[in-house]
Amino acid sequence: MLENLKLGLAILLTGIVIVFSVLVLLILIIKVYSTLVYNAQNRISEKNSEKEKNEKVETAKSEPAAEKAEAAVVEEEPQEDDGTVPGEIVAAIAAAIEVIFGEGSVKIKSIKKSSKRRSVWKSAGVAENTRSF
Amino acid sequence: MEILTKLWESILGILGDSAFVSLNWRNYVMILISFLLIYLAIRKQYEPLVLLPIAVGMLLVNLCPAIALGGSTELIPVDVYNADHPGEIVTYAKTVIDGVTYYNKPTSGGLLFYLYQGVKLGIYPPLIFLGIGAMTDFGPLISNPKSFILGAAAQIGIFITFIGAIILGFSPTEAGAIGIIGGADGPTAIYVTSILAAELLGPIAVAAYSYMALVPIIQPPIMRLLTTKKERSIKMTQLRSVSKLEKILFPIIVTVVVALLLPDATTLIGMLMFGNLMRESGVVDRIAKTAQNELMNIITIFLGLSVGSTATGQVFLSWKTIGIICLGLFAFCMGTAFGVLFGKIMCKATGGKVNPLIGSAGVSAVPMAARVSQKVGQEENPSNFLLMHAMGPNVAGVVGSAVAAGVLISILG
Repeated sequence: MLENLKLGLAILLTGIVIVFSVLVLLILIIKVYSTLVYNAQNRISEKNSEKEKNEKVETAKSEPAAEKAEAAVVEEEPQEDDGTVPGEIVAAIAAAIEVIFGEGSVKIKSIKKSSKRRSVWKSAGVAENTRSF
Repeated sequence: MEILTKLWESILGILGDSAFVSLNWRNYVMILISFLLIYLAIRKQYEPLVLLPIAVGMLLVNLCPAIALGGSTELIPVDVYNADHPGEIVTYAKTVIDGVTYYNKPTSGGLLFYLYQGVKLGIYPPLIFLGIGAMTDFGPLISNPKSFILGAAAQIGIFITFIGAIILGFSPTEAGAIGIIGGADGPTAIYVTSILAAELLGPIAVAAYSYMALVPIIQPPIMRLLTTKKERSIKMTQLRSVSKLEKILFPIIVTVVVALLLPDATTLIGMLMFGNLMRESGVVDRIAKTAQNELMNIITIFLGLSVGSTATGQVFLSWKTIGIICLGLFAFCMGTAFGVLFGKIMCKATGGKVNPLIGSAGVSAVPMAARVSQKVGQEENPSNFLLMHAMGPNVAGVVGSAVAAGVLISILG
C-alpha cells in the first residue's frame, strides 16, 4: 500500500509536469509559427496591393480619356453586384445589433459593404472601434 | 406415444437451454439497469448516441452471455464424427482421453466477442478520434494558444484521482484507468482502460459517458462556487481570425511534437490530428466527411455494443463499480475545479481580461463543456459571449487528456 502510494505521488508529479511541459511547449511553438505565418502573409498581401496600385497608375496614364470613361462604366456593374449584401448577412448583422443595443432600440437604415482593401490606418480604426464587441 | 415423448424431451431441452435456467439474479439486475440506461438515452437524451448502444449491449449480454463469449473447442469422438460426415477429409487436431480419440472441432464465438476485439486491440478509440479531429475546428485554440494551460489544468483531476483510487485499494493499473475518467473523454477512457485494466471496461465506460452527459448538471455549481459575480461577468475581447495555413500547420506540428516527446500518445493524437488535417487541407472533402459521419457512426455502434457487452452482472455488480462511479465523479469535479482555478490565475495575470469560467471547459467533453461556460457566463451578463473563447480550452482538453493518457500508459502499461 505504502509503495503504491509512493508510486501514486510519483505519477501525480510526473503527470502534471509532463502534461504542462508538452502543452506549454505547444503554446510556444504555435505562437512562433503563428507570428511567422502572419508576418509572411502580411508581406505578401502588401506586395500584392503595391503591385496593383502601380498597375492602376500605369493604366491610368497610358489610356486615353474616352477609353477610361468606358472602362469606368464597365467596372461599375460588378461593383454594384459586389456591394449587394446578402439577406442572411443582413439578418445576422441586425440580430447582433439587437442583442447589443436591446430589442427595438435601434433602426437600421442601410448596410453597406466596405471596400475590401482597407489602408492600415483604416484597419486600425475599425479594430479600435469594434474591440468592445 | 413416441412422438409425444420426443415432443416432451424437445420442450425440456429448450427449457434447459433457456435463459430462465442459466441466468442468475445479477443478470436480472443488470437487465433492469440496461432498461434504466435505455430510458435515460431515449427520454432524457443523455449522450444517446453512445448510451443507447451501450445499454443494448448490456441487455444482450445479460440475456444471453454466450453472445460475448469467444470460440471454444468441441470434443467429438472420431467414429461418431466420421459416421455423421462420411467421405469428409478431416483436418481437426485429435485428443485421446481414456483410450477414446476425439476431434478438436473449433466452434465460433458470439457476435459481440468479435466486435469487442476492436476495443481489446485498441482500434475503435483512435478511429473515433479520427472522426473527432475531422469535426473539430482548432481555430479558437490557435488564435489563443494560452488556452492550452487550461486544457492542461483540467487534467490534474486525473492524477489526483489516481492517488484516491490507490488509497481505496485499487491496483496502480486500475487506478490509472479510473483516473482517466476525469479527462471526460470517452474514447480516451476506453483506450486507456483496454490497455491498463480491461476487466473494468464496462463500469469505467458507463461512468465516463454518464458524467459527460451530466456536464450541465455537475459543472455549474463548482463554477459558481469558485468564482465571484464580477469574474463571471468579464467580457473577453474578440479572437483574431486564423489563416488557413496556420490551421493546416497546426495538426502537423502537434503530431510531431507530441509523438517525439510522448510516443505512447501518438496513436490518439496522430489520429485526432490526421482527421483535422483532412478537414483543414480542403482537398480530401470526401474522406473527411466519411470520417466525421459514416465511419464515426459505424465505430460508435460497434464501440457502444462491445463496451456494453463487458458489463455482465458478475463484473458490474461489485463494490469496485461503486468505487469507480464515486471516484469518477470526484475526478470529474476536480478537473472542473482545477480548470476554473487556473482560469482565475489567468484572469489575475492578464489584469482581468480572461473570464475564469472558460477554465471549466478544459475537461474535454466537446462541445458540451464550452456550452456550459457560455450558459453560466450569460446568466451573469446576457451580452457576454464566451462560447468561442471556451472552445479553445475545450479542444485543448482533448489534446491534454490524450497526453495524460500517454503518460499513464508509458508509466503503468
